[in-house]
Parts: sequence; structure tokens; C-alpha cells
Amino acid sequence: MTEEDKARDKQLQKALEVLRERLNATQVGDSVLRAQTDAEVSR
Amino acid sequence: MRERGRAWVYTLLLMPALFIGGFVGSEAYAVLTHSSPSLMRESLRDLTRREALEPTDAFRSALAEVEAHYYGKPPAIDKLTYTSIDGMLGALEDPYTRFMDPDAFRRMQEDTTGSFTGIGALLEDAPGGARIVRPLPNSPAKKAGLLPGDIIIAVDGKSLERIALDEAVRLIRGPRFTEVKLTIRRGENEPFTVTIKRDLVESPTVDVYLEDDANKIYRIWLQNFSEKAPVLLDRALNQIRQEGGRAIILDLRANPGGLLDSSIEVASRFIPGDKVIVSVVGRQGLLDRKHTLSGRYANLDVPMVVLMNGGSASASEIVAGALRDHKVAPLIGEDSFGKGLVQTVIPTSPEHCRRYHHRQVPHAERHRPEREDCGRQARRRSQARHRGQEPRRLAHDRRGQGAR
Repeated sequence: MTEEDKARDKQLQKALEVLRERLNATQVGDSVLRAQTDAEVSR
Repeated sequence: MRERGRAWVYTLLLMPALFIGGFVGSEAYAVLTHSSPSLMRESLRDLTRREALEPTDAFRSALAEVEAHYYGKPPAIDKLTYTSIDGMLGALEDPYTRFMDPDAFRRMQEDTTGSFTGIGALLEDAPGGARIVRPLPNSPAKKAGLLPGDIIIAVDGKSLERIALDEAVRLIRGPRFTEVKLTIRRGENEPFTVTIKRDLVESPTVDVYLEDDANKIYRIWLQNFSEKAPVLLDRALNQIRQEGGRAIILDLRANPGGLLDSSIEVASRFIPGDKVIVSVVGRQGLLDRKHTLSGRYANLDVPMVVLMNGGSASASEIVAGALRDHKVAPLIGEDSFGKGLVQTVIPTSPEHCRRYHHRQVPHAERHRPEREDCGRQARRRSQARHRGQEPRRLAHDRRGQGAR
């Protein structure tokens, strides 16, 4: 793997990391929202 | 002592050269432009009698003199004229303003239409020749069994040892169904020759990769902004939608740009509503303001990032800038090329238009939606870094690094 390939791979990994974090945050947000909704329903 | 001896030899050689140079130099004008010194003296007397020539008259006069009196066979008038125009545009000290002769214009047309006639291989510079990064799917190169890493060291018997990638590409390409003989070096093996029939090849424009199966993160590698780019992008987005994609990486690395209209189309797939993509500002002020196109939004509504590097230029920067400014996607990677200009192809005259002689002039700077000046500032930065260069790119057996 050339230095250029390594740099490209590092950039891609960074992009994946950012998106995974955002997807994870979305999931957490969804579950909080679901929990609230369930709580409202149960009240 | 040896060094001193060598210095003496040089001095002895140089001195006669200076004498001869001085003698020849005094008559150089006559030798170059007239058949005899008396004719030259006559012309000089004639010149002193006349008023100063208008610059364009001077050009015509010089051209006529070369044609009529140059001691050797003068180059064709086309070549003389093109070289003159190149020289004139050079005075602008703008690396993006250039004259395209018919060959260059044809190559540019092929680049923007998204197809070309050749062997269909992605090439890059390599010691002793051009390295095949990968043959394109279903291409003549693929069918001939060429492999990534193969180095083309000669084309039709002509060595590529001291040939720029640009020129190598020109040699490899040719009319459809004609044959080209390539000498290939593969690893440590003896070079071998393969004959390939050229054919029409689609430029790779959009590739889709599933980079993270668990999270369904897709990467769209957009390699240029040809006419076909928006349609091919639509296909990619439909595929991602059907496969349940949850996030997108728009990879614009090494994308040198292309058509402004295609960049507006591409940005419109990702930016909802009526938003400004780019403003074009010329010498007289605002020339145009490009908005998202209605009905083009892909409505995927998934997280997105844009990958950039030093080879991301022009239309890539328009799209990336708009996506960032409208908070659609952050940019990740390296600083982009920094072009900041919109170029227009202008026919030089009706005759020249028919003969496809064009000059390409950047007529406007452009501004991203937030009006951060990506014109002057970027242009200065870009010109300092890339004077005389195009963004670095690979070549699809066509113009190479610096060629597109």
C-alpha cells in the first residue's frame, strides 16, 4: 500500500467514524423519543 | 589538477565560440529572415520611413515575413498562429486561460461527454512508462488481459521512457476499431507485446461501494462532472435507497470537475428547497446566481459527509461548498485544489468555430452560498501552487496528470 493509499484509507475511516457517530446519535435520539412516547402512553 | 585541466578545455572551446557567435550574431537577422544582407538593409530603411506599426499589423507583418523569407521551411501557418495566441494569453499570467487547438478541443469534448475512444484503462505516471491502475470493466484493455500494475513501456514501438503521460495517452488513443500495439512490463518478467483494437469506452463516472455493511454506509465515488454524471448519480442513489442505505459518503477526491450545469444538478440531489448553490461574479459584478433545480432533490434524508483532497477541483468545490454551507454535509479530508473560477469556452471566430479552434477563458470568479470569497483568495492560492497545472488526476488512456 503506497503512502497515498494509506492517506486515502485514513480519510475514509474518518468519514466512516463521523457517520457512525451520527447514526448512533440518531439511534439514541430515537430510543429516547420512543421511551418518552411510551411513558406518555402509559401515563 | 584534473578539474583545472577540464576548465581550460572549456575555456578554449568557449572562446572561439564567442568569436563565431559575435560574428554570426551581427548578421543573425539577415540569416533568419532574409535571403541576403542587402535585402535586410533595404527592409530596415523601409521600416524607419514608416510610422510605428499597430500591434496587430506587426503580428501580420511578422507572420508574412516568416512565411516569405525564413531560411528554412516554416511551420504550418496554423502552428505559427496557435503558438502566437498561446504567447499572447501567457501575458495574462492566468494558468486557466488557454487556447485549445482542434486536438485539445476534441479531447475536452470527450471529457465532458463521458465517453472516449481508446483501450479503456486508468493510467498514471510510472518510471519508464504509464502504469495501468486498473482496466475499465468490459473495455478493450480488460478483454486483452491487461492487469493493474502493468506498465506500458512502448506504444507501436515508440518508447515511453521520456514521454509525458499526456503524450503517452495521445499515442494510445486513436480512431475506433484501429489497432494499437503496446509493449508491457509485468513485474520482473520479460516485456511482452499485445495488440488491442480501440473502441468506444464509457468514462467511469459514478461507482458505489458498501463500506460498512452493519451500518449500511455507502460511498458514492463521483469521478467527474460530465453530462452523464447526474443520471448516473440518480442510479446510484436509487440503488442505495433500495438496499436500505442509512448514510452516504460523497467521495469527490481526485475529481477535477467538469460542467457547471452538472455540478448544479448534483448539488440539487442533496440540498432541499430553493437554495443558492453558487454565484458567478465577473468584472462588471454579479453575472449569475445558480439555485437548486426544482424536482431534483433525492429525498434520502440520511446523514452524509463529503470527502475531498487536493485533486478535488472546480465543480467538486462548488458542490462541496454548497453542501457544507447549507449544513447538509461536513467536509472531510484535505484542502481542495482551490480553483474559484468558472471557465467559458469561446469560439475565436466564425471560421475558427467551424474548425473547432477555441480559447477557454475564465470569465468570472464564483462565490459559495455564504459569499465567502472563493474567487480571488482561492485563485491567488491556487495560482501560487499550481501555476500552469491542472488538478492532479489519473487518466483513462487519455490526457493524464495535468491533462486531463
